Amino acid sequence: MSIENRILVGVGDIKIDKDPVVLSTFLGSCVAVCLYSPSRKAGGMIHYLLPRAREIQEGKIPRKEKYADTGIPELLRRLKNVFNIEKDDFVAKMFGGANVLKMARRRVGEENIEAARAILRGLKIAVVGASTGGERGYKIDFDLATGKVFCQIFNEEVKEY
Amino acid sequence: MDMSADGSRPNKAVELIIQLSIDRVSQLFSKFIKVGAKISLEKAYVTDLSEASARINAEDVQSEVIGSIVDVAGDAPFKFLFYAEAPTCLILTDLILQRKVGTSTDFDIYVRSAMQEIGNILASGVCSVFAADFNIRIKPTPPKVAHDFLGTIFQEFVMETAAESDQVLIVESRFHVVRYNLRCNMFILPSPGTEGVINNFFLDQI
Repeated sequence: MSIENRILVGVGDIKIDKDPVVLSTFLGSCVAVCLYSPSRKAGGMIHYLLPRAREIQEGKIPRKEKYADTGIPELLRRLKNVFNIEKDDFVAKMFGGANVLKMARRRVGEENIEAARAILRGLKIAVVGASTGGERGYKIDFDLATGKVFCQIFNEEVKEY
Repeated sequence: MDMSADGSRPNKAVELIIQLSIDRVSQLFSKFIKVGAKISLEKAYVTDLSEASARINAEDVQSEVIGSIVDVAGDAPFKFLFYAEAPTCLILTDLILQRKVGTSTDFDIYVRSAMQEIGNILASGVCSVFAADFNIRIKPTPPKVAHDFLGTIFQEFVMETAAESDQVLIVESRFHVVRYNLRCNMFILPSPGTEGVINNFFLDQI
């Protein structure tokens, strides 16, 4: 993986691109969903904060990228529009949702994981790889040349998904 | 103070309270670790949190840090983060415990407690500027300490604020402990509405 081709995906953001780019991010309780089209070697990543937009953005137009329920369909829409790929061509991988600060009161990470699974199920997109939960952060590199995701949980070895 | 690093400037009232807060924190930090620490960077800017988090990740792609996050509640809430690379935190622990530098070798209960105490004291220092100098009621909650990737800790720090607002004011400061060549970082992230509370305080004084 070349550093020059690396694009960092910030908190509450979506990035889409194609081979030879690598999309990278760091996660705690946020979740990253990666959609990939193997036939077109194109894909995208969303790094969202919360499961649902309406919880805190009632009456306002939320920034779609921050929430699973608005952001994952938005990621799919952008990929379809930019690369002209049909929904059935995509596979999904998901990462993150850790409880890094060991919060007992509200487990945002778990809610984020459940939201992604439900939304992808609703969109009928297969989840072909995932590493979620725990209490440590994630570093992920999504290689758009192969669709492979290299995931490192803090203080562990890098694993390939 | 560099007030235009990434985006637009905060107003004069906020600039003043930031300047006083960072000066107070610098004094407290030097006193606490019993070695002089100088401010090597001081900037306040309004930025998009997605861009800010991507920039932080780009700066330290592999960095392993220990961070202390404090939520400050009250009339003008904000979040406070102090972090340093793991080896730096081990030396800070030895300095605070007044033992030979090199004694701490792992992220153990002593390092966790030392980082918790640094977060507590420095966040309380900022609170005292708000409370004593400006009569704004605020109270820090117990610090949460984490040992993880810098990108993960910064994400946890900005998460709640990012969920509420796209453009935010960030205060970023770095301290250099010259004698041991230690570099430590501090962020203050006012909650949406805090700037307004500070402005109103100054308007009331006129």
